Amino acid sequence: MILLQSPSRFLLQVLLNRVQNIDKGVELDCQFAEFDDVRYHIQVAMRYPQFMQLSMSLPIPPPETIFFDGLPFGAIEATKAEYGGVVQILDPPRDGYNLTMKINLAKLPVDEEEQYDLLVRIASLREVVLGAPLRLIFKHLASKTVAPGLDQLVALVHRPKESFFLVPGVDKVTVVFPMRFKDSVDIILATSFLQEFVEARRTAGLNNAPPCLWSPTPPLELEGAPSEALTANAGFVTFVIFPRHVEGRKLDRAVWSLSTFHAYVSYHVKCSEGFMHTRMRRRVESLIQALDRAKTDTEKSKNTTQSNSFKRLSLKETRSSSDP
Amino acid sequence: MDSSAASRPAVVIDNGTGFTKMGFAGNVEPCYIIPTVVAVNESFLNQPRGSGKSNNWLAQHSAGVMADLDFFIGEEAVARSRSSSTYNLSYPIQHGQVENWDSMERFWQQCIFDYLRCDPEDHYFLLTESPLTPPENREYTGEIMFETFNVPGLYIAVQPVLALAAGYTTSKCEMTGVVVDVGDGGTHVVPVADGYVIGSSIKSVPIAGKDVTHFIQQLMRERGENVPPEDSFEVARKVKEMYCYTCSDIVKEYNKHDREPSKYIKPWRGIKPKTGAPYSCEVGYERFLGPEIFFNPEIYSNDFDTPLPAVIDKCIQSAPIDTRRALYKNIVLSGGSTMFKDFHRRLQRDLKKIVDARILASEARLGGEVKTQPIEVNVVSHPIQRFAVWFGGSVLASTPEFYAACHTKAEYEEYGASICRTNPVFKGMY
Repeated sequence: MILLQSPSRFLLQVLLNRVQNIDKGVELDCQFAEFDDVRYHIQVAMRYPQFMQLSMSLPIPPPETIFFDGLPFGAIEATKAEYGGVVQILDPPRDGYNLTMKINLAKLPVDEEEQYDLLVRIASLREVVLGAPLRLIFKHLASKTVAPGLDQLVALVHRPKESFFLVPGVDKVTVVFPMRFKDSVDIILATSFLQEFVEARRTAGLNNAPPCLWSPTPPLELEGAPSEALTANAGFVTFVIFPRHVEGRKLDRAVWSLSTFHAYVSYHVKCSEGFMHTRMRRRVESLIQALDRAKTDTEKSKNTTQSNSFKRLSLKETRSSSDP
Repeated sequence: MDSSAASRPAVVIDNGTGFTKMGFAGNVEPCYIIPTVVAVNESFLNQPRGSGKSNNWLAQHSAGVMADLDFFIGEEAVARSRSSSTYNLSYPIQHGQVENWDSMERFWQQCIFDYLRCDPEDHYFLLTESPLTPPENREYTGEIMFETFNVPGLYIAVQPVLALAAGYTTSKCEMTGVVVDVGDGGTHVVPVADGYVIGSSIKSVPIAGKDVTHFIQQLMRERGENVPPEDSFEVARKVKEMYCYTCSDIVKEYNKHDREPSKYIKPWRGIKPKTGAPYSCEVGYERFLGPEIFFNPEIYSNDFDTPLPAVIDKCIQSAPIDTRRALYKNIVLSGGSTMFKDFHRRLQRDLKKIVDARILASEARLGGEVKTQPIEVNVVSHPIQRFAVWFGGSVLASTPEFYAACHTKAEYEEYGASICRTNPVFKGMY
């Protein structure tokens, strides 16, 4: 797996399972969490098996982001437009959550393929809600206009108390991510990962990809942002998005990739740590082999007598010992 | 303690030999139950060293293969390895012990990022291990969890203890008892006293769920049932899961079947995987003979003939004398292969027979001078037996004491991996 997938695997599994067993009327109450502190709560009452209540809580927004009633701007409209009559948004949401909606499973399309598509879209709720402002700005970009009523610099939440910034323009949108990591090793790995990332953009095959830059200090676009948003221990990444990157079907991918960019970097930092451990283990094994070869025969035989004195419990031995 | 991480539900992962159960604490069911298997593309990893580092890297790059990310776990892994020969299956856990740490690390990585989709830095983790795991393996697990995934806190629990804790919801939690864990690959009888495993008394039985399936397959083949050979193991597994039950007496059960075949013999319909032609066969005596191998192992195996109740009795008799009464009183079943109907009744009856016989013998020996108090034998069965270990973990990890009992990242950095060797029994377990 190289990219994180947009639909939540578990949510989709629950939805599919429910649709197949709609008549069984089994109660369900479960909560789960996702990266960047997004939490879900699913509830199905035994009496109304066709209704599923899905609540979602978002990361706590920093002061500079614009939130209406606990949701990013345009989220309610985007949800309504995406799901239509199948979903009803409840107001006020469940205590401790930002959005609660009731899914009417009886109203799903009958055609199997359409039904599956809609369920996948419901499972991608995170992209719809958190990506709503991004989608709005990109839609205007695709039609070469600027979304009305927006500041020079738009802050959007992507992690608890952290935001990334957009500078919307008529022919391009600049996106700036301040990258922050907790662990000292992660900071170093992420920094070099991002430098390589920028370098990889320059290879011949990626000419059409959005230009991307990395700098250890805040770029000029961030002038006017609050000072606490301008500290980042792994530098700043800037993408410049042109209309051609958000045309038609590319829009969804662009919204998802940008709104989860931090999670993507963090995933690959963990992967590279795992890869290094694999290499280290292999090296230790080869060194032990070299040591073994260097041993004289007497040492080797001594070693085996020692290990014989230590009795290990294995399935074979217990089998023979439990035989009367 | 990291307070923001403690406010989120802990992640509970129970890695078994056959299946891994994972999910978030506080829920009743795990989010996923997937086979513990990794499909790795090894075509780039095993290239000879001498061919030059840069060449190898370029080859990888131009092929568009990120070799270290090109792998799958669970059902996907099984499907991939069937459809193409580039992927090799690797089973990281054998007989309850982690054997391949590379695969295990990758397996965890995908569990966390692809299946649970959570940031490991945000959640406390509860992992499980078999009671026979050496402390070195625990250190290894700790190293991977803290170094690779930067988890804020980790607790490694012993599987049978969690199975006991699964009974937590019933008014009070009894942390003394014998756990009979019958999984797919192995059967263990583990006595636990006050949350501590009595390691010297653990008994293992070389008969498990897989053997039941093999035995059913063998019975159906010998009777000449019309099952395509390439499908017979799968059919036997399904027959086991759908129709098998435990009988009270084999001879009586044979008579019942012969008298009323229409009531006891079940028809089985299937489709031949190769030709797609339908076929049908009958499921008869194997319905009760399958689970019978636990009680009369001699009908299946030549070199093991101690029935499961006798093994449990032997296990309790080898435990410290002051725990034995409590152990007989609370015998807990766990694992998928204890799900046969009336399994716990049969176990309780047979065990009671052994215990009563021993009491009678001792009373006769003493000549009736001393009256022995009767021993209570109790085999407990609960509906979530199949993932009792995971459920126990979910219950324990949702108590506030859990967060205090965890090894934290700060402790790991201060003292090193050796802190993972011991995992304290904590208050929430009582």
